Amino acid sequence: MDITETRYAQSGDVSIAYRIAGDGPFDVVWIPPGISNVERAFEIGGVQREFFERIASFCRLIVFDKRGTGLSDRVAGIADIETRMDDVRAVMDATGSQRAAVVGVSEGGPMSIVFAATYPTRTRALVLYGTLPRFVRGPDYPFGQSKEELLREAEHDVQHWGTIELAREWLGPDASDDSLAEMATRMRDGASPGAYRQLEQMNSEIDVRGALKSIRVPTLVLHRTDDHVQVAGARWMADQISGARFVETPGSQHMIIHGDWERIADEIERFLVPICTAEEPEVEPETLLATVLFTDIVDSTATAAELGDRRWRELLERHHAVIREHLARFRGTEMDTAGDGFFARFDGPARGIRCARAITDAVSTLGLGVRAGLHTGECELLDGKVAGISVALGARVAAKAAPGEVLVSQTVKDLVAGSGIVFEDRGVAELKGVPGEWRLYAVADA
Amino acid sequence: MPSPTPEIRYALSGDVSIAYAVVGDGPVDLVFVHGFAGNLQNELEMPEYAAFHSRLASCSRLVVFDRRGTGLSDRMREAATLETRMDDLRAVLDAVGSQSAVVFGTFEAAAMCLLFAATYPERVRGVILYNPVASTGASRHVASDADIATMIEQWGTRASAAAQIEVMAPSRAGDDAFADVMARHQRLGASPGAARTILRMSREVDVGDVLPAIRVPTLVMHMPSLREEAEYLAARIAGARRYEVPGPDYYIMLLGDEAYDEIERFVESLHGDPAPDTVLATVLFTDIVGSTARAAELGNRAWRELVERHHAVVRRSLDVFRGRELDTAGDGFFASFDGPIRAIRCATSVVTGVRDLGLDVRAGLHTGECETIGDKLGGIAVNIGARVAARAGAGEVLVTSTVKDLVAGSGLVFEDRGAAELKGVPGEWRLYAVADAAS
Repeated sequence: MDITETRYAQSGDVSIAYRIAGDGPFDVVWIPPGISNVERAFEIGGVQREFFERIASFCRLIVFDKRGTGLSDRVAGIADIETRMDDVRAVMDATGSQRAAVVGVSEGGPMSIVFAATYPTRTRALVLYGTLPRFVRGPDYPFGQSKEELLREAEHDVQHWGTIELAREWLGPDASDDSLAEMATRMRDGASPGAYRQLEQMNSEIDVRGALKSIRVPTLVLHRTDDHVQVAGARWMADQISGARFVETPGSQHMIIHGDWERIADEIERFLVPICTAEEPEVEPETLLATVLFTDIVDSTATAAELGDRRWRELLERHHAVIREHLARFRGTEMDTAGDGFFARFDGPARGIRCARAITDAVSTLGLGVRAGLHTGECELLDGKVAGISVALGARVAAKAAPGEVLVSQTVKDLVAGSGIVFEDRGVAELKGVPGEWRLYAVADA
Repeated sequence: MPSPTPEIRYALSGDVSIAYAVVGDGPVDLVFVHGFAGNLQNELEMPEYAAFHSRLASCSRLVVFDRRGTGLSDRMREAATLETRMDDLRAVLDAVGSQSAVVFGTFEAAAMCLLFAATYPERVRGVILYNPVASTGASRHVASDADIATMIEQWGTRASAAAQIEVMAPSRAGDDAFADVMARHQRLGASPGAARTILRMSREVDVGDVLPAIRVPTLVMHMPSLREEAEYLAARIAGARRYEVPGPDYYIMLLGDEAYDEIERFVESLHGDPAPDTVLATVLFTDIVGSTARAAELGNRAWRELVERHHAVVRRSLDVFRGRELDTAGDGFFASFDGPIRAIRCATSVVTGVRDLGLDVRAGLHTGECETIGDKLGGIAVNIGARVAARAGAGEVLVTSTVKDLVAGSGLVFEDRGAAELKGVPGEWRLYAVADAAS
């Protein structure tokens, strides 16, 4: 099997290590679990290589190490999901992959979910193995560990990182000496203790349930019956994804290459090959996951009356110029201006928030107050424009914001774990014309 | 390789994990510091490293580690300063329970090893350098931005490994399998971003001024093409021995028996450890500006109270930045630090802190060899520090070029204040003000 030498894709100024195996008729991008190492993965004689060769027998397999792990730049700080999505796109661009099946394994699951929902044009199909949209229990979410438990376990792992003892805890008492030593090595090669701590910190906060309903690509949810990541959670997740197929295989191993991995590979092949080798209809997807931003000038009528028409118009032009400058900087797309307000969309919510904050700061130097609101949800695509209930929701959130405030929905907050953005709970609100109750958060220090 | 395979553990340096391993159990501790980047896991597995490890471990308890930012250790976005790297080395020595060790550094790590030996002579039995890059005093090639960009572009490719092998291991030139092994080792040691950070940092390193302060036995080894820098260093370190390795291969792990014999003889010669009576330290002097006038203006009691508050501010800063108070002379302080960056940060924090009291202080710093007299420090370096402080303006932190050269990578910015003569000290001294110390 042909396996390329490790090369690096540039994502901003960060290098992401990747390799390509096989040359099948369609591309698979492998989103690895918590830790990985593309060099070690293809070591001769290892199960990991055997497994990847099996997958690469029916596709062109693109594997990479997430930033902070393996051979990629190990930057300080936690990367949020959208930065990690940028890394995936950088790898796809570097390998000339326009569209690929995305396989998200364990910790790689949440980012795969958001990727498939956000970039349907680049995602042909989605496979989720041994993963959940959220790893900790919550009031309305009975799966996973408690946050405290997860963080306590993570700290324990950090303290024993790369030891045979920890490998035994991970693999069970029956594991052979060789496999224990191999596991210990894999830990050290995959991440340093500090990097692993940051990774788990993010995993204790991440929640991408809000993106599940926006997935419109064929999806397979694959899970082993007795995985410690509860199968019930995976089944629930599959139910939330429109048309998703759920397959349960026997076994208690969490790691994909342990136990009966041939069976797992078979399931992936059986699912992907027919979908990905079929003639691809060149249609624009009708829906995608997007973050919408609405801004509005506070007290514009009074200010306009006070300034007079000409000066107000001039001020408005400067306001528009400032906002457009920031949209360009944060990769936002202007959708509409309604009077003195803006409507824009982003493919990542953290960028949306940062843009909104920059706008409220910048226009205050013009002597203007702006309210801003954001929501992330499924939007309909019509001639490049987005529409739908999510758009209406974003507008309603903005209307609730105080002057100079950036207000976001719970969905937005849940998706930006690891970004370092801090929120203040603004309680539950009803939004005009939108059913249900919505919890809103103000971005701190806006 | 000695069996069983050594276990890799992590030492904590602050909250940063440094991966290390111990090989062998000889009578002398020997710690090896990679010049660029390595990967312990891979080195313990590579047959190419086996002879190197087993030779060193035959005469010592060999300690190997991955410097921060490389191999299995934690990554950082910013460059690690010499001071931080000394902290890491100490953390590793502490973790393995080493009281004093022979410190062995290659290429750019030589600078850190020399600084460590001068600063902590009680923890260093001897220094071994191989192909050292430590001073801009020798005509050393400094990589341009374009050079670095090219290296990063080619990072970890077989082609770039093959080109390096032609220079470093001519007997293996054209051996594709070996090129693959070395390319892989490069990738496992550092990602392109980490490599870029190290390369940029290494251009600024200069410990030339520290060389006279080295008081431990030193062996300077080098390949023939790098004789000039090695000669420069050996000539400036008291009693240093220079040794040119015979080749044909020059990678550290392929030096061959003759070179390893030389190392072994050197390590075995280091019996007994005379108590050091000199140490490299950074001295800080501060002084209140216009104190006589202020005292007269305020009256005795108010002035005394103000001075007490001033002292509290200074002592709090000394505490935070790990400074050691050595003396107070009237309304000034004399303190020492084992790292110049912490010393500068302390000085700027004092300047800012006392301004809130309505006071201005001048501060001066110098790094040099000091005599240890009981708990006190003495010697010309201390005098220089005091003279530099006397030259500082109100609210200014002034340092010698020695200090400036040692803090590369710290992000501190300096303004050139030109050359000055210092009363009672021979020669001319170039002084620098720390930028924004007052803000």
